Amino acid sequence: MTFRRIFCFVFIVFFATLPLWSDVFHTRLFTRILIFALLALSLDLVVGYGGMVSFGHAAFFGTGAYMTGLMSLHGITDALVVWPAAAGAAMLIALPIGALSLRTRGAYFIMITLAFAQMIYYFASGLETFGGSDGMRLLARNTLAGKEFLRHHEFFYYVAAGFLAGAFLLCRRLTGSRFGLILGGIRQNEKRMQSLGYATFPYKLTCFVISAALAGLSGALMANETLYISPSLLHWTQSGHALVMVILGGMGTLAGPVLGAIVLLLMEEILSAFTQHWMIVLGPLLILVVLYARGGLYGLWPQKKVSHVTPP
Amino acid sequence: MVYGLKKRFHMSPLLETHQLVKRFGAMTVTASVDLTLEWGEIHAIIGPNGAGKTTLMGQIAGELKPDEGTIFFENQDITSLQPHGRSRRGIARMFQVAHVFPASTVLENVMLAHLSQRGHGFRFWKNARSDRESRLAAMNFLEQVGLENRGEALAGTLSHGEQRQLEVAMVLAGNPKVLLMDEPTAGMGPEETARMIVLLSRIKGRQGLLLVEHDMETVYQLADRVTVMVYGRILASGTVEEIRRDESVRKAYLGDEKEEKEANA
Repeated sequence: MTFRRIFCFVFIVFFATLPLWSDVFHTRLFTRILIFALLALSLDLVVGYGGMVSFGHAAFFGTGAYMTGLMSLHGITDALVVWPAAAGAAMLIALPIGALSLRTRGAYFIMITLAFAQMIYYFASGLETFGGSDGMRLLARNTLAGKEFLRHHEFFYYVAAGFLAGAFLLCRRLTGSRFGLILGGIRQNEKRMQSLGYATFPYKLTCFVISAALAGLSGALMANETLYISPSLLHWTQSGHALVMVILGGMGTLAGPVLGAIVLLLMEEILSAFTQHWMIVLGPLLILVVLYARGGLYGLWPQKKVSHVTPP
Repeated sequence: MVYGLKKRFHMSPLLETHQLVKRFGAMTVTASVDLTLEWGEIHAIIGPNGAGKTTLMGQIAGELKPDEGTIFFENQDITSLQPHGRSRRGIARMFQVAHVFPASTVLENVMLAHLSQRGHGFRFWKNARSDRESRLAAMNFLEQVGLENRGEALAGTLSHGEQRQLEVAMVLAGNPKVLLMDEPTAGMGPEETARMIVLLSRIKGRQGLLLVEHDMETVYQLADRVTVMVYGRILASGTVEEIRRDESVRKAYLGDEKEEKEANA
């Protein structure tokens, strides 16, 4: 327990002070990592807590990014307007996608969310205003209350970190609430929940939409970090990438996806410096984790309750 | 007493099926079944394997849609109601295999059952597990079934018998008017069976209980009324004594069981 506390302390101090001693390259790298951690966290809400394996989360991530681009085309650049709009747009898209997809489950749910995401991918590829499949460059980061704070990479890092921390605490409240308790019951045995008197569909849809909002927000942050939006943000590999983070870190936990995002992206970064074929190393490693560490990396951590996920 | 009240006030049965028919392909598994359940009584359905008992329960719970016929609950037609809608009106189902939530604690399991009857669950902020009121309520039900010391254990780690006890606590927590129980003592040892019988006899009189049971001893100890089903139809219905004396029942069912027992021995 004390070891755990020390680790958490070091972890937090590391991330809280990183821009103060790191160069710009690494600050930006870790900004991206934090943004992807937010995406992975949002995905885990659906996959790990809701038991709905969505393979189309890139749709909401990309929607957030494209909303940022769309508004900047129309001269709306303030983050206080753009970011909530990005989250809102993702929610608006998640509502019909969720309403239709949630009529299926298991492998069918995976396929139909994938299909919807690919539809949006091809739609974005055909949008000439956004540069079609080439994508579009953004002129500058969003302003914050009219000021250009976010131009500074260090400040933007803290904004991303703040959103991740906020989302983390939000998800913690959410999963511990009555809603979270019911969601856990639905994940474990939906039929039983119905026989207890729960109409399960609205709970699942709500979870799906909340998750999409967080994913949309991370998309808006990503568009701001790279100043570039392209259909690749909507591609299914993006969904797969996020899913790998969740599984690697440990689904059904909140720390797991964050840990998974950090480890996966760092490994990609380090391995790709050695060889172009870094996937050859990463692939088998992932298989090992799936085979021998069911609870993911976080599950290897000694603790009382490993994961909320039902053991198979 | 319940019967007397019923006569005096011309009360209709709590639950009633009227000419219920269910077919799977060419096979008729429920053939024009008329069944009633009164307040406070335990009504047992017995019959050999494949008699359509579980199918009948499934239709009453709303998991299966009957092909013909009507189901009335408190004088209202509930035939087209979904399972959760019936559950909300007060029909609780206890499954043949214990369906608890294995990765949740025992207390959380009961809380889920209790909360389902108390408005919506769209509360996103307040911690549900530490909510005093629902914890106390859940503990009360755990005490009734004798699991008060196991509240913090994960339900998946309970023994088979304990899981069935938990299941009863969950069913009671829903405050139902009708309990549908599918072989509550299946797979239990003699000690656990005895405990379950005590538990069910304590419930008796508070709800209507429709019971599918193989074990004749359990039926004789608990039931006020027994209905015998064979090949999807009702062969006989009456008190335990009447059923014991009934010739056709002896031939069709009890005799079979004797032969079965002999064959097994």
